[in-house]
Amino acid sequence: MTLASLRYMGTGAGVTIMLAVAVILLSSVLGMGLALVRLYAWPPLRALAAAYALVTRGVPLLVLLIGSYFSLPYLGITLPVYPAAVVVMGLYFAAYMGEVFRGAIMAVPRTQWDAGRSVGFRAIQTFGTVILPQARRLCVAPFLNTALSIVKNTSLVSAIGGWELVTAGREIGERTGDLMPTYLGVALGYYLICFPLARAATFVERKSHA
Amino acid sequence: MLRILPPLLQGLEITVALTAIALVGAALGGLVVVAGRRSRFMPVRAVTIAFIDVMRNTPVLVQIFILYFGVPEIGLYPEPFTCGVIALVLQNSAYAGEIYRAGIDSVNRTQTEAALSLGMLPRRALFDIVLPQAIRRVLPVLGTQAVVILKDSSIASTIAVVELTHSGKLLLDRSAAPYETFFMVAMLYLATAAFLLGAMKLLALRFPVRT
Repeated sequence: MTLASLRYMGTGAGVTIMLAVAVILLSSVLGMGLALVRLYAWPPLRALAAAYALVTRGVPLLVLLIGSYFSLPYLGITLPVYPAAVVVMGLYFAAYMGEVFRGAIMAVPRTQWDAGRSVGFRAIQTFGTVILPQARRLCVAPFLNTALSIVKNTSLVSAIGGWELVTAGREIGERTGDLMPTYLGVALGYYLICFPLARAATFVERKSHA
Repeated sequence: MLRILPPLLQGLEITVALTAIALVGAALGGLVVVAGRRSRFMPVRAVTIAFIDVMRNTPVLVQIFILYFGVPEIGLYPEPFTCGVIALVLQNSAYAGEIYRAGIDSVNRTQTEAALSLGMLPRRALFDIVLPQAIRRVLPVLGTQAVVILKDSSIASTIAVVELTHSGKLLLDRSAAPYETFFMVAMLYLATAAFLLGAMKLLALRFPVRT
């Protein structure tokens, strides 16, 4: 494979990483909000949030991406690919992140709340000073696993016409005719991007079990 | 809106077929993976861990592309459906293997010790005592994984497998009702996912965890 091809794929990998980071940030923020709503808000809102989580976990991401992206022209809106993809993926993974954060918060022992009350903290103080730091420790492993999933799912942006690692690989492959080595190279690219995340996730999991 | 249902249902048929075959394949493949992962021989363990690593770190889309576009270069020309099945089975065998492993490890070590102290051979202890308990614990997680397989089957639409997502895409180009089409597609996926989860839950009820 030529050096120019490698640099082309490198740029694609860079786009993949940027997309993934954007989605991780967006989904984390939205997910935190979703988790708080599901745990502490007014019951009808909680039901809405639960329904949202259920729907986004039952429908494939590809369907959401294609559906929303190709429906936009009929509304007269022409959004560029990247923002549209990031928004849709952010909304989609917000449900997953919401589950991660909600699980972490719920996993903090009930006794911690009692301890906070007994020291005189109000509920919000207890939450911020006692519960949240403990939950933060508990959520790292599933968070990393979800982040890993996000990185892999950015590959679907190629299916709605966005340019990233997979598209770069396909262009090179079609130009040179060597499809197999090129796609193996794409796989290697994803492996290299994901490897640190997977390692970190395994490390955290092992640390919390030992 | 009901007029678009028939072609979507045909696509759903393919989706269900894809998912069902991949489910069975991954369930069986997961057994191979967990056996390799827990093997006494270092080379077997190393190869298995490498396999799981590769499957965990590469997207399904790339795997399908490698199979569908890459394999023809060595002379075989697999059908799109077959490529989809193989990619789904490989990817989810790795995950299923890890799920089985977590299940086996979650069964208390004292069970194995008790069985061995009764004079059972290690293999008998594994199959008659540990595995039944392990299977009960992993059924819910396997249900979640089944829904993941269902959702990943939509990726096969990128290599022209005419399953639900692809049918939806074709209808989208032909009709001028994008929202209705994708609403129906989403509803069908939700219904199938709910059905899968319900079936898994029934299965889990029949084999409850008795701690």
